[in-house]
Amino acid sequence: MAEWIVWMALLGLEPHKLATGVVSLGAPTRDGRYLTHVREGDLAVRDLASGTDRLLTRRAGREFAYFSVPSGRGQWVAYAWFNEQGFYELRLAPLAGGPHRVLFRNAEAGFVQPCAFTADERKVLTLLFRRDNTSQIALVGVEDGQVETLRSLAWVYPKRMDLSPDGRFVVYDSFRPDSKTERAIYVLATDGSSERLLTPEPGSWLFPFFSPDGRSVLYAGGEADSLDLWRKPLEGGGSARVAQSLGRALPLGWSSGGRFVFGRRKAASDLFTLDPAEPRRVKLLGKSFAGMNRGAVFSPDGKWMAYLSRRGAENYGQESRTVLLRDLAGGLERDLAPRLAYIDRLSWGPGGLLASGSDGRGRAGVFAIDTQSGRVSALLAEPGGPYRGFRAGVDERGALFWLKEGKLWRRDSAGQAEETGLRGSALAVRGGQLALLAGSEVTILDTAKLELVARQHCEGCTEMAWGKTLLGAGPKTLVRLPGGAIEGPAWREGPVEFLADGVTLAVTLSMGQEEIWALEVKP
Amino acid sequence: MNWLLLLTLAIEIPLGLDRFLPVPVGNPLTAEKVAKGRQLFFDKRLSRDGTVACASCHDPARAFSDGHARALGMGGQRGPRRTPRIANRAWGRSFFWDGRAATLEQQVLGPIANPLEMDLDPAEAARRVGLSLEEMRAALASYVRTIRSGDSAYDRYLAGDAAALDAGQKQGLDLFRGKAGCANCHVGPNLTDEDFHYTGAGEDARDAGRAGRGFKTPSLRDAARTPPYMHDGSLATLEAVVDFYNDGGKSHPRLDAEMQPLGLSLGEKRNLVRFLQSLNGRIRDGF
Repeated sequence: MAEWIVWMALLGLEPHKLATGVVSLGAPTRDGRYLTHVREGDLAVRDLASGTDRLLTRRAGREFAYFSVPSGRGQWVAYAWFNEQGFYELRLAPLAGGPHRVLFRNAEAGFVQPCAFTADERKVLTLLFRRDNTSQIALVGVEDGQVETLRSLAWVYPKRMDLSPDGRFVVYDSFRPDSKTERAIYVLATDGSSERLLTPEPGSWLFPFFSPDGRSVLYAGGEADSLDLWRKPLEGGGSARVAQSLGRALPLGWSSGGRFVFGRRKAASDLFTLDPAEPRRVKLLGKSFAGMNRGAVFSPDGKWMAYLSRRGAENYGQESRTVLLRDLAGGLERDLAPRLAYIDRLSWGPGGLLASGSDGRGRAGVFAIDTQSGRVSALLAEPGGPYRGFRAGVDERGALFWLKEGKLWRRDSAGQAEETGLRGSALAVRGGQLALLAGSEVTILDTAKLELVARQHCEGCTEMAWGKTLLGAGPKTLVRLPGGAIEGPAWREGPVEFLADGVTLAVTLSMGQEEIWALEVKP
Repeated sequence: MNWLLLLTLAIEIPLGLDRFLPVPVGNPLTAEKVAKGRQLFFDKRLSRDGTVACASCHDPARAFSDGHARALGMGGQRGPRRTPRIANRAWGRSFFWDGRAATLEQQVLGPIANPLEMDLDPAEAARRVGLSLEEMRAALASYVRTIRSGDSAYDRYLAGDAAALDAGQKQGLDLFRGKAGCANCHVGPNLTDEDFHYTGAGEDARDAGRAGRGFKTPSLRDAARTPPYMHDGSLATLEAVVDFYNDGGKSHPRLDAEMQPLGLSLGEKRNLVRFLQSLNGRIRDGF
C-alpha cells in the first residue's frame, strides 16, 4: 500500500514532514496531536509525536474503513465504513476509544464521505452519493442521524467540502457553470438561502477549506504535475497564492498554530512484462511512460497496446483516467481522451476496444472506444449502476457478457438480454469461450450454449487472462503472482493480460511512497 | 438576521427536496410578493377578455395542471402543447417544453402574452391590476417559486423507510433504474435531468421543441395525478406511456439513442406504473 507522509510546508521555507506510513483518507486534529487515517482497512489514529498508531476498528470479511474526520474539539471521529452488505455507512467513534455508533445507514445512499463537524459537534457535514448517481451535500445529526439535504448535484460529486467555523456556510468544488471539466469553488449557505460562485476566474479550482477564523477559503489549483495553494476572502477581495508547487497534493485540514496539512502523492504505477518462467524479474513494457499507468490490453493482431493513464497533479476521486493507444512497432502514442467519467478497466474484443466504467451522465456499464477518433458509444449503460461499470467481454459472434451484482448476463447480437443463472466475480472472453471465476473455481464455457468446457480449482485467484493454448495440456497454473512485492517495493495490482505471444504477461506494478506535508499559512 | 432571509427560512421544504431553494438576487422572496403573486395567479383580468387566469390551466386541484391534452386558452383555443406541471420549478433550469425561458421571471409573462392563451399585452395586464410590469412579473415568479411537492412514498423510501414502497413498487423502482432505463433522463430529486430529448412522442411532426434538441424532460412528481402525458398530451394514461417506451418510442430522425425496445413483461409494466404512482407528494404553495 502506498504511503502518505505528512509534511508541513512553511511559506518560503522547505516543507516539514509530520508523519509517514499513513493513507490520506483522514484529517488532522486541530490540536495537532493526531491524524486519522486508514491502516490496512482499519480506522487508525496516528500520534504525530510518537509516530505510533492506535486502531479504532477491527475489520472482518470485506469490511473496511474509508474517509474519516475528527471533530474540532478532538472528541469524536466520524468515518465511512464499508459494511458486509456492500455499501458505506457513516459511523461515529470516540477518538480516545470506546463504543461506536452508526449515524447513517441507507443502501439508497451507499457512499458517504464525512467532511467536517459543526463547532458544537452535533452535526457532520457529509457527502452522500445515491443510487441514481445524484450527489448530495448533507448535514447528519450526531444524536439522531437525521439527514438535512442542503443541495443535490448531478453525478459529479464534490472532491472536498468544508464547513465554516460558525456553521453558516459550506464550501465545495464542482464543475464550473460553463464547463464539464474544470471545477470552481462554491459557497452554500447552510440555511438554504443562497449559493454563489467564489472563484469565477478561469482555471480549475478544488479542495476548498475554510481558514480557522472563517474569513477566507483556501483551495488548490495548478498545472501539470503540481498544485498551488490559493486563498481568497469569503466576502470580497481577490485571490492570492499561498504556496507554490506542492506537487500531487491532497489538502487534509488544519492542525495547530495555523498549520495546513496536506498529502503529497509520490507513488507511481507502471506497466511491466513478466515472464512466467521467472516471475520476479520484470521489465518495463516498452519505452518509459508518463503519469500513472495501469491495465494494458493488446489488440488481437498484436500491433497495438491500450492502457489507462492518470496525468497531471490532481488525481484524487472521480477524475477520469485517459486511454493511451501505443503503436507497439513504432512506439508512437496517442491519447484517445474518451469522454468517460471513470474508466475501471479496458478489454479488447472482436469489435474493438472496450472500457468498463461510467459516462458523463452517471450511467455505468460497458463502452466501446473508437481507436481512431476516441468517440465513445455505450454497449451497455445503466443508471444507478456501480461507478466502476461491469466486468464484461464480447465473443466472436458479438454477444456481450457481463457480471452484474455477481450474476452473469448475456446479450446476443440481436439485443436480447438474459440472466444466465451463472454467478462469478470475474470473467474473460476470447473467441467462443468464456472463463468465469467464482470463488476458487475457474469455469471455461462455450459462449454459444454456455456448456462446460473445462474447470479448474484456483485458490486465491482474482484475475484471469487468456493466453496461448498449450497443446496436450490441461488447465494448469502458469505462474502465481505474489500478492506482495514482486521486485523491490513494487506491488502488483489490477488486471493482467497476455501479450500477443500468449506467454508473456503484462502487469501493473505500483511503487514508491506517498508523503503528507503541512504548510504554515499566515492569517 | 435579515428579514428576507427569515422569509426564505420560513418556507417548509418537504422531504425529498433540497433545503437550498434558488432565489435570484434581483427578486428575493417576500411574504407580500408571494401573496400578491398568488392573487395574480387566480386573477382573470390578466387575460384579454377576462375569462382566463393562470390557475385556469394550472389548477391547484389538479396538481397545477388541467387534464387536457393541449392547453385551452381564451375562447377555447387549443395550444400546441400540454399544460406542464409547475411544482418544484424553483429548482428548474429552463422553462416551457422547449426551454425558451431561462428563469421563472422570463417565463411567467409568456402565457399572458400568448395569443393562444391569455392574449394580453403584459403591460396592459399590469395596468389592470395596478402594478408595474416588473412588480407583476416579480410577484408571479415568486409565487410559482413557492409551489413545491415532496414527501411522497418514494421520498420516504429514499429516506430509509423500507415499508414506504410495497414489493411491486420496489420492483418498479428497480426497473425504473435498470431495465426500463427511465433514470437515464428522470433523475435527481425532481426526477428530471432538465435536458432535452427526442423520444418520438407527439403527433405533430412540425413541433420540433427546442430546435435540434427536442423536448424538456418533465419531472415525474405527481405524474399519476396529471394525465394525459407527453408534450402534446398524446398518451392518455401511464400505462400508455410505459407501452410507448417499451416499444422504443416512435421513429424520429433525431431519436434519442436511449430509445430502445425494453422487452418488459406485463407484470413489469404494471409494477413500473405502480412505482410512478408512488411519486405523488404533498403539494404546497406559499409559506
